[in-house]
Amino acid sequence: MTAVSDETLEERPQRRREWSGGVQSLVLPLALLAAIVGGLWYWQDRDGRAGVDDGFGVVALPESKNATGRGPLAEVSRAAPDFVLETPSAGTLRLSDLQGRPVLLNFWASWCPPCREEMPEIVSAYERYRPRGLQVVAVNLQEPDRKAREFASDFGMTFPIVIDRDSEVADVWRLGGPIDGIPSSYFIDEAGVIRALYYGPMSQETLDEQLEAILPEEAG
Amino acid sequence: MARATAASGWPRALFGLEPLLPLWRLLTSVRFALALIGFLALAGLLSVVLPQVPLVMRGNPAAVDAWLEFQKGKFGPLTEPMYRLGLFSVFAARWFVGSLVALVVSVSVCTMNRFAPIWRSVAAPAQRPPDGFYASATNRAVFATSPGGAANAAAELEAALRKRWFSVRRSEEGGASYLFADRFAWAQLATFVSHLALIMFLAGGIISRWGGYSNALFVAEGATNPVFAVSHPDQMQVEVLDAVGRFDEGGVPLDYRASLVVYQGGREVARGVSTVNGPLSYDGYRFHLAGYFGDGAELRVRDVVTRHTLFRESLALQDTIPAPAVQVRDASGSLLLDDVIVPTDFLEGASGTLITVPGTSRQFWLGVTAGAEEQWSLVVYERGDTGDRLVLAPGEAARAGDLEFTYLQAAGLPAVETAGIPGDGDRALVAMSQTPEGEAYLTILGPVDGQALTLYPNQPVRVNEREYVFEGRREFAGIEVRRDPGANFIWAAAGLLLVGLAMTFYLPRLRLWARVGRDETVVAALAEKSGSFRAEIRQLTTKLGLTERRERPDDA
Repeated sequence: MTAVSDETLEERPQRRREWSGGVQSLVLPLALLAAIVGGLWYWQDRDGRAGVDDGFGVVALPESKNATGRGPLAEVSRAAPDFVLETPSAGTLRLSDLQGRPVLLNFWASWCPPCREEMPEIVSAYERYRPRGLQVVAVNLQEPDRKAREFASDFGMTFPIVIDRDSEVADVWRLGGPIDGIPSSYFIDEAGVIRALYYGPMSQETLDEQLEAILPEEAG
Repeated sequence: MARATAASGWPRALFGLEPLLPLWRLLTSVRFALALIGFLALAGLLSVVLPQVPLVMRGNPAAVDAWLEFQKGKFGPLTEPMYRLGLFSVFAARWFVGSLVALVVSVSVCTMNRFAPIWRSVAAPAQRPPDGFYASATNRAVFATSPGGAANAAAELEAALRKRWFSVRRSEEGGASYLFADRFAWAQLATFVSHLALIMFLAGGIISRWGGYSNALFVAEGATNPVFAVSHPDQMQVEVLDAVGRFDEGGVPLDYRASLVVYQGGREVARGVSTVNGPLSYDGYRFHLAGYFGDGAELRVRDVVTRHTLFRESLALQDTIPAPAVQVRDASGSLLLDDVIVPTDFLEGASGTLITVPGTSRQFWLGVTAGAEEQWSLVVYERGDTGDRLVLAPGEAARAGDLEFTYLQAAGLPAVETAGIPGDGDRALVAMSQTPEGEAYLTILGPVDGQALTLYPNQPVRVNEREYVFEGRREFAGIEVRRDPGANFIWAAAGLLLVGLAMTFYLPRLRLWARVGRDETVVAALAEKSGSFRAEIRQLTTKLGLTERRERPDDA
């Protein structure tokens, strides 16, 4: 052992701080802190939210089916954004396949009281206007197939129901505008162009009024 | 003050000075850290003294505006500036979160910059102090060296120290033996463990603030509610299969739980029982039982022709309407009626209904009216101009002809005024009562003009083309959904803090320097705070059979 000065016999080394240059004294500790916190956060969230592309959701609208010449957008006078979604009975439905018929696209969920309130009116309107070619598509938000089927059976929904499992379609259709809510209804004409939209529960009068914007003239 | 051991690097090369040095001095200053802690404590105090915008309102500007209007009554023209300063949402204010982040950074930089000297002290401690240290150390003990000689005495001392868990290094110089004994050297690192705990506490708080989520749901049995507003990447639905709330007479819960199913992306992802302290968990979200409500009713209305459902709701009967519990006996004392009379007529100051007393043809309007001392009085009017009229207080009885009316008490019936029930009226009053046998039944006023519908469980009542069905009583569960990404940090921090404190208090580092000369052995240590020097010396003297020499007063 060699003799050392008593200055190095410090009792409380934790009271000392040493400036070793900006990188070592400041940047390095901050980077280390960021790495630790970032790492822990990543670990906390490691399952991630990255969706798995299951082939369902929003799809490109074929040019030949876009009557507006502008990109699809969920707004009046724009081509309806296309999608492919599963039905509760494992079938599929593509929105653009319905071109040639006026379509009422309704976003709903069984837990949504206004959706329950308006559904009998939609069912009734579908029965009334089906002879004029009306097609109703009910897009359920992220619910299990069983729930959707039970609801459809209860309320007599004989038109197609599809399930937006990861809410991708709902996000693109920007439901409910500023209130981000359901029910939301879009009235699409035979050419696949949105002619009207309505946020909130619809009465029979509202439905009749909005449907007139897309239904063909009655024969005779 | 800082000791600039190496003032070089790219910042100096770039600017010709140390631009980061003032920042480093600030961040490594204990005073700065204490000032931040004081400021945050003051902010916390403010959040207690000043009203805070309720959490549920914070995402809704209209609700916040309404809340601020209310606060203007207290704070007048200062309300708006105070809101802009974040004084009504202290923990969400940028200055608060910023201060918290600054404290985390300060503690981190401070701690990391102290790592080098501490590590040197642990890994390469000073083993051979100057001779003057043995004469002037604050803690020293002097013994006569044992007769076997310095080398032998040093060996005995070394062996004794090793048995006392010391790591010992020995050297010889100038006829004397020098020993350096170090115990629990690594305990010096406890300060990092404690500081890491502090950093994690603060980081956990910040992460919870940024990434946390809380929402309260009120869900009926058999119903499903979404966790978020319509669109959210983590969207889930919670279904309540069963809500249970049993209480003793004093209101103490005996059984309080809810069976839940959680769905995500159309799949069932979790199922289990939730209690207040035993939540159902899924993907970082916890579903705590936060409430119970037992007075719900499932009502369905169908189209008779199509059998399609026109209305289906689980109604939470959250209001109460007063209803008299009445007994009617005939002249012989036979009980003709014993029931709670559900009101169907709501007049100014009184509510009641017209009944025909069973076994008679006499009709009475029975109702309650607010009497003196906030008591509900029973009002009995017999139909017809010459009929009897009675007003009874609770517990009273009176005769109307040959019938005796006994007013037991006013009961509060669960009820709700609601809209949307198909029928003629816009609004309806739904009340739930029980038959004497304990079976629940519903009375609905409003949807069918001029009629009060009485619905017994699963017994449809047809009115025109509609069928009304009371599908049974439903209980509601209040579910609080929480996601707190900082929670794991807090748990880890709590564990680290305990470890750090335990190391500091129960395994303190102790360094001893000994010089064993031919005549005299000196054992010295640093300040007493670093360990129980005196206790250790007592142990050694006992073990080695030594007698400590008395120090002269000026040695001390």
